[in-house]
Amino acid sequence: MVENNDAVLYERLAAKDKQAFETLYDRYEKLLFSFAFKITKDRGLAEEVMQDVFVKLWNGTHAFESSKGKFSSWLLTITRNKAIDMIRKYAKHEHVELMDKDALISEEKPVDKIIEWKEDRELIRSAVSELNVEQQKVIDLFYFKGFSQQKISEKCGVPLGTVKGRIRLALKHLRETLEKGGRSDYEA
Amino acid sequence: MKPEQCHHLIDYFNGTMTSEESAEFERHLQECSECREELAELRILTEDLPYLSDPVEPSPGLKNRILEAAYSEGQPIKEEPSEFQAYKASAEPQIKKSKRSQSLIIGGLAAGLVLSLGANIIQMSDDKEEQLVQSEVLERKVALASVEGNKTLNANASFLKEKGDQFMVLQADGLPEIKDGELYQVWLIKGEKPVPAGYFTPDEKGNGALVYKVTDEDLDWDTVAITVENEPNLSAPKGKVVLAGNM
Repeated sequence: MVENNDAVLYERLAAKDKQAFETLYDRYEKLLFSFAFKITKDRGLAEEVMQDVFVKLWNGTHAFESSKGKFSSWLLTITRNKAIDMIRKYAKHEHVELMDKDALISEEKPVDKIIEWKEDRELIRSAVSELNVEQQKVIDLFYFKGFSQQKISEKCGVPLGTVKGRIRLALKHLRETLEKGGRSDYEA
Repeated sequence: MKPEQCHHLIDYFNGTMTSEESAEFERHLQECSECREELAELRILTEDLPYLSDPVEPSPGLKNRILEAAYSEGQPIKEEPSEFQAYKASAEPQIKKSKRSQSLIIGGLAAGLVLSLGANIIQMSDDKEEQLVQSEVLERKVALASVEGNKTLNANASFLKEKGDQFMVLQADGLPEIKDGELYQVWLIKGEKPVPAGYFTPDEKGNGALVYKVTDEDLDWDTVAITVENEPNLSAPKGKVVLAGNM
């Protein structure tokens, strides 16, 4: 199964192998699109994000190095950065939402683990639901809205100096809950 | 009391700082192991969050659009901010220069049309450029850039309409010398499908130009590219791409 390994596919992509590029595209299309949509709340913007990410992946502007960690995490990070750029440009998503909202679940049948990420989603969703409302809110503002520290402090009504601490606490709490919930496949 | 910079970690992570502030924070990161650790920790702690997204079905045509956009970009183009800025700065006077000579070329086009007798491709020469007739409407202009980052190499393709016909006027400066028998081939590319759109050989100063009558079949192109070839008007490029520009 070495052939299907992301890093191997990426090496082939970097050598201009269209088949490898398309395999990676197929593997990540739905996850990245759904993630971009979660951030932008707009199909058109999410499509622009996808195009930017994949064109730059193909032409080498975004170059992955295995020293940067997992390919999937790196790809998700550049997707997030672009999606957040887009909402800053079109700033229209000011409202805060809690992360355990159950909207927009597609009725597709799960295809495989990466394509549908169903198990991950259920585990993380259940861990998130154990966070208190304030913690959910701070993670949403920080991670999915990409707000500045100043803005998070205003939205949450907490002093500027405590924003970072609150974010870290919420994220650590989430991680601990996930570990307890039996997630075994991530690095310590 | 922590140094002032340690308070910028969140803004650095979220990219809400100016590029100067980010650069300053990056210098701080090299000295502050605590911030380095916190940044690495933030990355690990947020790694699972994208998987919270509810699956949303992308539209069925998205893949093809993206693949077309990616493949029509041609050769890899590295976007390095500092180099890009330098490129923009150095390109400025050249843009002014080419604007002036372009109006000469447009004049040449009209003159050439009178003489063309239905020929699709008209090789331009210097003396024709001196005649100025301005009856064309400029519809679109595409700047082509060197795919190898050669900053002295520039080209523009202008799309003009005259009496219902569309023409592409292409001119390039700073072209590298080519061997005898080689030529610069221009392509209009629609998705992955290239259509030959005329060819030329540059003069001794590395300047080249051509006029191409755009036919109805090649109207929907999205990329203009120039390759070096051994023979004209092949059905697909064999040589390497020298210049490319997107609509």
